[in-house]
This record gives sequence, C-alpha cells and structure tokens, in this order.
Amino acid sequence: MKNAFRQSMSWLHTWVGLLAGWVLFFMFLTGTAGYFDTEIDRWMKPERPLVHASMSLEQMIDVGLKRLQAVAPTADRWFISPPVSRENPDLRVTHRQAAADGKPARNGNELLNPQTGAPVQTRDTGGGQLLYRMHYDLHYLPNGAANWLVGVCSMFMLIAIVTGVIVHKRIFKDFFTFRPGKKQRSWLDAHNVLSVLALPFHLMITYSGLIFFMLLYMPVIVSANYGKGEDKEQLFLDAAVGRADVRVERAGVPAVLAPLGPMLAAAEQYFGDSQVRFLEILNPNDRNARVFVARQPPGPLRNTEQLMFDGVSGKLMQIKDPVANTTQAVRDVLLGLHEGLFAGPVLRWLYFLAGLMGTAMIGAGLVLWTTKRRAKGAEHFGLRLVERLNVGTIVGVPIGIATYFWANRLIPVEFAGRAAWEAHALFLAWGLMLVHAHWRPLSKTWIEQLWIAAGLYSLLPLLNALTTDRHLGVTLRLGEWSLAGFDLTMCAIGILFALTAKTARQESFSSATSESNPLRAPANSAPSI
Amino acid sequence: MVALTVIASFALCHAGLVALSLAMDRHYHQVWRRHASRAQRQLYRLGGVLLLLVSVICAVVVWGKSVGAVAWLGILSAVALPLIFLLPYSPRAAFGSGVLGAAIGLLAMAFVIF
Repeated sequence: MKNAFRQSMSWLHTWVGLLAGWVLFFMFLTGTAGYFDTEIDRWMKPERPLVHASMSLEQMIDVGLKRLQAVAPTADRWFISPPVSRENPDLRVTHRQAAADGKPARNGNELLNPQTGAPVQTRDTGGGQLLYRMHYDLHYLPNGAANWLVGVCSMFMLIAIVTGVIVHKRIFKDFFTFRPGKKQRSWLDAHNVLSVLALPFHLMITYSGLIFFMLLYMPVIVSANYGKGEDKEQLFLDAAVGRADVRVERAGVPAVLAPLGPMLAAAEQYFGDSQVRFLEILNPNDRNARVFVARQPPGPLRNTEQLMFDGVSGKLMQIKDPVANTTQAVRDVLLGLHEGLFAGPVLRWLYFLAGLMGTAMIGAGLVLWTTKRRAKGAEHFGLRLVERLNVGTIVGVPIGIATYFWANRLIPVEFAGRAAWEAHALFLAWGLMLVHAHWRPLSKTWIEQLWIAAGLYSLLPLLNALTTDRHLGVTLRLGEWSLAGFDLTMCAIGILFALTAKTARQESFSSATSESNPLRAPANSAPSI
Repeated sequence: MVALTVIASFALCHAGLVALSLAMDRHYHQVWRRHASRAQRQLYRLGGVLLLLVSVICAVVVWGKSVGAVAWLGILSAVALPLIFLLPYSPRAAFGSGVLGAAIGLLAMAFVIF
C-alpha cells in the first residue's frame, strides 16, 4: 500500500519534472541572474558616470523635482528615487498619468545625472531588467499566455518538490551522500543533494512565485466576495494592500507644492540617515497634493513605512504602518522573500547560490531521466529527443545569456532596434545550440557546448576591455565593485565551464573502465527515484 | 566586527556539518576507514548541534531574527555543498576543513566578544 503510493508519487515526480523541466530551467537561471539585475544593468550601460558626485539628499531630490515639473506637470503621480541604495544606483524619476477624457495614458521613466539634471544618455539596451523579467514574461509570449505558462510550470515545480520529498526516503540518512563516477547513481545523488540542501529556498521561491499572479490564477475568489468588474477588483485591491485610506482625488484647484526639504529632514530624523527609499507625490501641483516618503526595507516585508505629508502645507498627516492587515503582510513577506530586495551583499550572494542550486537541480533531474532509461538499455525517439533538448538547454541557455552580454558590446550603439536584437541574440544562440545538439554525437555535443560556454564567459572581461573604458584595469583601481564584480564573476563562471568540460571529456574516455573507479563509495541501496 | 561575526557564522556552520556527518557511520568510515563507537557518534552529534546553534546565534546577531533565519538557511546550503563534494574525493581534507572551520569561527568570535 505504502509502496504503491510512493510509486505513483515517483511517476508524478518524473513526468511533471520532465514536462516543465526546460521552461523551469530557463526561469530559474534568468531569475537567478535577476538577483544581480542592477549590477548587470550597470555593466550593460557603460556610458553611466563612474563616480557619483557627493550631493545632499535634498539637492538630488530637488534635481528630480525640477525635471518632473518640466516634463510632466499634469501627471497623477511622481516618483523620485535618490541613488542611496543598491536598488537605485542612479537618480531616477518616474511619472504616471492614467488615460482620461480620451487622452491615452502617459508614463515615463528617466535616469538623471544629479549634477546637470539632464537625462543620462545610455545605449539602447534591455539591460539586467529585461533579463530578469524574462523569467516570468518569457520575452516573446504575450503577457497573458506567458503568465499562465509560468503559472502552470510553477505549479508543476511545486508538485515536483512535494512528491520529491515523499519519494526521497532518506533525506537525513543521505544528507551528505554523493557517490561520484557511477552514472545514474551519481546523477541521482547530485539531484538529491542539490534539492535537499536548498529545499527551503526551492519551496519559498516556487510558492511565492505563484502568489505573484494569484489574482490571475484564482480570479473567482475575488469576484465571489467583491463582485465582478474592474471597480470591484479595485475595491478588493484597496482593501488588500491597505491603500483605501490614501486614495485622494485631484481637487482641480492649482496649488504650489510645499518645499520638500523639511519633509525629507523629518523623514530622515524618523527613519535614520540614508534610509529614504523614494518619494511619491500624488496629485502634484494640486490643492490635494500628498507627499509620501518611504523607508528602505529593513527585512523581507516588501511594503515599508511611509510618512504622508500634505503637499501644500507641508504638514505631516499620517505615519503609514507597512502592515495594513495580516493577509497583506503575509503576501508582502512572501513576495519580499522572493525578490530579496532587502538582501545586503552577503545575503544576495547566498540567494544567487541557492538559485544556481535550483537551476542545477532541475538540470540534474533532466539528465537523470535519460541516464536511467539508457541504463535499462532503452533506445527510442523520445529518449533521443530529451537527450538533445537537455544539452541544448542546460548548456544552451547559459550560452544564450553570455551571447546577450556579447551582443550588448558588439551591436553598434547607433544601430536601430539594438535592444531588441540583444534579446534576439540570446534566443538565436539558444536555438543554435539546440540545432547543434541534433547534429553532433551526444557526448561530443556536451563537451563542445561546454567549451563554447567557457570561451564566451571567460572572454567577456577581454571584450569589455576592447570595447569600453570600464574594464578591470579601471574599475579595480577605482574600487567600482559592482562593475569589477561582473567581469570577475563572468571569468569565474567561464573557468567553471572549462573545468566541467575537462571532467566531461575524462568521463567519456573512462566510461568503459568506470567500474574500476577507485573513488567509488560502497553501494548499499537501489536508486529510489 | 560585523564581518567577523559573519565569518564566524559561516565557519561554525561548516564545522557543525562536518561533525554531524562524522556522527554517521558511513561518513566516519569514509574518513577514518573504521567504524565509530556509539559514544563517538553521540559526541560528534552533540558537537555538531552545538556548533550549528552558535552559528545560528551569530547570524541572528548580524541580521536580526527574521533576516537572520533567511540568511542562515542560505549559509547552510552554501557550506554544505562543498563539504558534500569534498567527502568522497578527499575525506581527510573534509575533516581538516571542519577543524579549520571550528578554529576560525571560535577565533573570530573571541575577537568579537573580547
């Protein structure tokens, strides 16, 4: 009885894992890169100034305000984010105006040079943000389709995690167990180890990923309780995120915005130094203007404390608690944990590592599917197809991402549509690797693609040095660690690929004699998955 | 000071995991080529749990309770991975890395406290 249950769970684990595996691999890898989205962005826009001017918070906010007054005096909302944290390495201004009276919505987003107040001119690129967004919008698909596909794959992932825990009988006994040089056994050990060690991360990231689109996946719950229609949905959102109390309509009476300096001073006194995250100005230049000053996130709670000022008199009206209600707080913490915006450098690297472990877990699981069948002497079209898709994805996606970075440096700056072509380059390279995988003998494919990846990654710093003056010789000397860190990390990834390629070659040479491998640990149980 | 406490948290977590692995006969045998007595296994287990506890405390001191818990789980994954790959290829080095981890961790803590 118990075994029958375990077997059916094992079946489920195998097939949901295989079906969603390649999409999940892409999602996990691009999502993991997203933990360094700002750093990747920085590298992909080498035109941005190297050293920032030392200006006071008030001066910088003032520069942003002047720009917004000039470009969008009638907007509904303004946002000014000063460059005080990793999340915002530049002075950023954003304005939003909803569609009304037959006029279309008008939104804008600019990076400013705090010294001149002019927008920073950079090459046209999707940067780290586009790469990070790919993990849930899948780039080419329309939003609805992408969100649903991502949702189905995430649900499959969640099922795979839960069934995986059920099927893996010896989580604690095998906690430290890896037995190299034994084909199927080794792949299973690797898959298990990568799963178990970062299990809390895998569970959190998958479950919270589903929460992001909960309204899309389960709309009936809202309409059953609030009724149908957009206004009813807004009612729900207001209640859910605790915005109901600050929804202030425009009065239609022009008024001069109060000086922001005293508000910033009050906020800094309340939050502490360098704790201002952004300023939001609702209904600017109107009598009903409100100014919100938000605090940096001290932890995974995504929403942060905000001070609300009357935008005309400048008086403090309310201190907004980040927690509106428990439901909102739970959702906020889950989303905050997923995004990891609160993470400092150490925690950010740990996030990155856990994400890579998740990616590798999926890769090892996919390879395990094929080695298990090969070991039984199977040979059919499906098996060959999975083997080819595996190489072309497990090494092909990293090659695609490296190509994205190469394209950023090689496509001429004045080339029209270059941002779109950077992304095309990613998918073209991936596609090319899939084609390559179908042409070459399997063991050769692995080794060749691993070497291509090794070359592309380890040569990126050199390419950077040849095409820009933001190379290691400059960045290391100036202590620009976010730029230097990118080059060094790429080099390290390249070396890892080269080592893997060397190991893979030795494996394929010694596979005939692997039975006499002295490193083998004693076998004492049959594979459980 | 903060940096030292972070180092202590990583190092002690690694040492704790090495001790816990040695509390299992399979890995004890991997390292020493003989079987562990019951007392030895229990000693390693107790030592391992204590080291992990101190490592958790270090993480909480640095990051606070909620972020500390997140960070510690990350530290656990990060230090366990190299250990697991070290054990089959070079079991003695795995043991040595545990001793080194304990030494570095305790030294770093001594610096922070005194």
